[in-house]
Amino acid sequence: MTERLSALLHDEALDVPVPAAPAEAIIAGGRRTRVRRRLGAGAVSAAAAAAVAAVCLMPSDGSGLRLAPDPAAASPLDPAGWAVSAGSTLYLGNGATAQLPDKVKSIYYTSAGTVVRTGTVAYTDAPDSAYALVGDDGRVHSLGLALGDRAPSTDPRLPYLAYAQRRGNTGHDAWDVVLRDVRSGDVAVSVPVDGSFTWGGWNAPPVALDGDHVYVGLDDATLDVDWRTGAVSTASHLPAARFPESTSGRVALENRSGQPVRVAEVSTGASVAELSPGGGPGEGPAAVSISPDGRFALLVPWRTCDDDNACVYDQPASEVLQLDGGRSATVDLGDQVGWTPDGRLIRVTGQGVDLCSPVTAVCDPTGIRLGEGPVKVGGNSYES
Amino acid sequence: MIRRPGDAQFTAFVQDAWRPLYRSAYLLLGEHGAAEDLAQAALTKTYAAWGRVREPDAAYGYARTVLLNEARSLFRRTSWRRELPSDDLPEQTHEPDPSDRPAVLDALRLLPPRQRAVIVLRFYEDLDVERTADTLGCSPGTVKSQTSAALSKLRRLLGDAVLPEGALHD
Repeated sequence: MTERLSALLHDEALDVPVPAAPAEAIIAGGRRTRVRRRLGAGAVSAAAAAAVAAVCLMPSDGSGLRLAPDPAAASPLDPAGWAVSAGSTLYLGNGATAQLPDKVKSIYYTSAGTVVRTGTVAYTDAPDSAYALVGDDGRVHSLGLALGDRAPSTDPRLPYLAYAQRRGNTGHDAWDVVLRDVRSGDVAVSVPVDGSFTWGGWNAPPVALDGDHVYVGLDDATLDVDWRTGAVSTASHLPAARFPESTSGRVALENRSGQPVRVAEVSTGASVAELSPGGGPGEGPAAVSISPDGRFALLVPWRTCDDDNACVYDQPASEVLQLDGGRSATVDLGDQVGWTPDGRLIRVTGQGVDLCSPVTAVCDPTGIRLGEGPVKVGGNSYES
Repeated sequence: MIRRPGDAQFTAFVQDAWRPLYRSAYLLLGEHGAAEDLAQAALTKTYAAWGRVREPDAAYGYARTVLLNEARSLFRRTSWRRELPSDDLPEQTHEPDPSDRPAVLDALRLLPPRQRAVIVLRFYEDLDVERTADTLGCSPGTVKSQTSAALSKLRRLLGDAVLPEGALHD
């Protein structure tokens, strides 16, 4: 039934104008790649700013808010509240370990402990996808949540798992933003929001929980939901129809080519740091990862993955910026890196796990030796 | 010992491989600048990894794999998941004149990025659902639903002759 479509695609592709092959640039780039692999990371220079589209929706006064009697106050970030997993074993920063019933697919920091999503495959909509809270003692408490294909979010200062769900049989235009207390499993907050969501493949718009705010990525705007008051407004400095991100009030913004160009304050749009997007393919960072405490930004290099999804960084080291001091350090990345809640880098190399200072770039072994299985490092997003 | 290609040898290979790789990249990404970057990145990595290309005749297949691998890295970045919505399709108030219908590539541009990529990977690159899901970093279920949604939109734009009733599902 689709043979004609396939044939037309191939026919019309032949008419696509193709520029001349930049053979010399490719060969020069290939040589530079080899040199970079030997020498490590390059320097990052300043430049470029991105325009941010602002959109307006009618604000809400919060009249639809449902709030538990005693919503949680924000807790201090727990330096030991970090975690790494290998297969179905979770290794906590305080030395405890936990055995999950299935492979760990994603790690979420909360003030009540580490929440994990487990399953046999990485997809959020896998039928055996499940969420559990792992306490500081390593005990596993199932949350009994079947979220399906949704992208939830946590804040390490709060005991909540945030997500959106469709309100009734209302199609793609009415949602409830839910904060579920992972200590009790109860819904602590529910705020209704309205707006079309068709741009992504999830069952509900993705959200980002950051302090008193939940950001909701809809078609026409990213909404800013103050979950304590129920007030809903437009997050005018976050782009619409995007996976919302906000980490301690900061976000990495990208240009139209998807290259990260600056770190900005979500509330004002003011630049905190400007980045060089690179001059060509494979140049510049692939992404910017902001530490959970908002103080640092790691320039994440491109990675190459093989058919088994084993990925290696194209550069063995990269820069960590101090967002408020303007200084930077170069850190060897190992196989994978993530963040502790209080802004130290977690580095996994082979079976070893190190903690690295983003200020001095000095890394110290934790003594953890990972077992078998795919590795996940806290402080990263594994949603897809 | 890692073999490195001679410049003349690799230049000749680039001249042969560039056009098909560029077309694939353009169909996937829908933008000439991004397509050039992707094809160039794929060939740059092919040069850098030339030692893994055991047979010169296999070089194009290797470069295409690298291009899809690069695309996979691109698709899995948060920024790419931040898809733009498609333009709303206009309501049809009358049966459209077939001669007014857009070409397939024009219609492809009206799809959101993930749907466009699904169509290209499945019906141009001829990947199966599992491989498409792996490339895009989503589940096979999402590939199927996105394929169905994309085919529905394309059918509205291109008509029954290109996509007959019944072509909307796997």
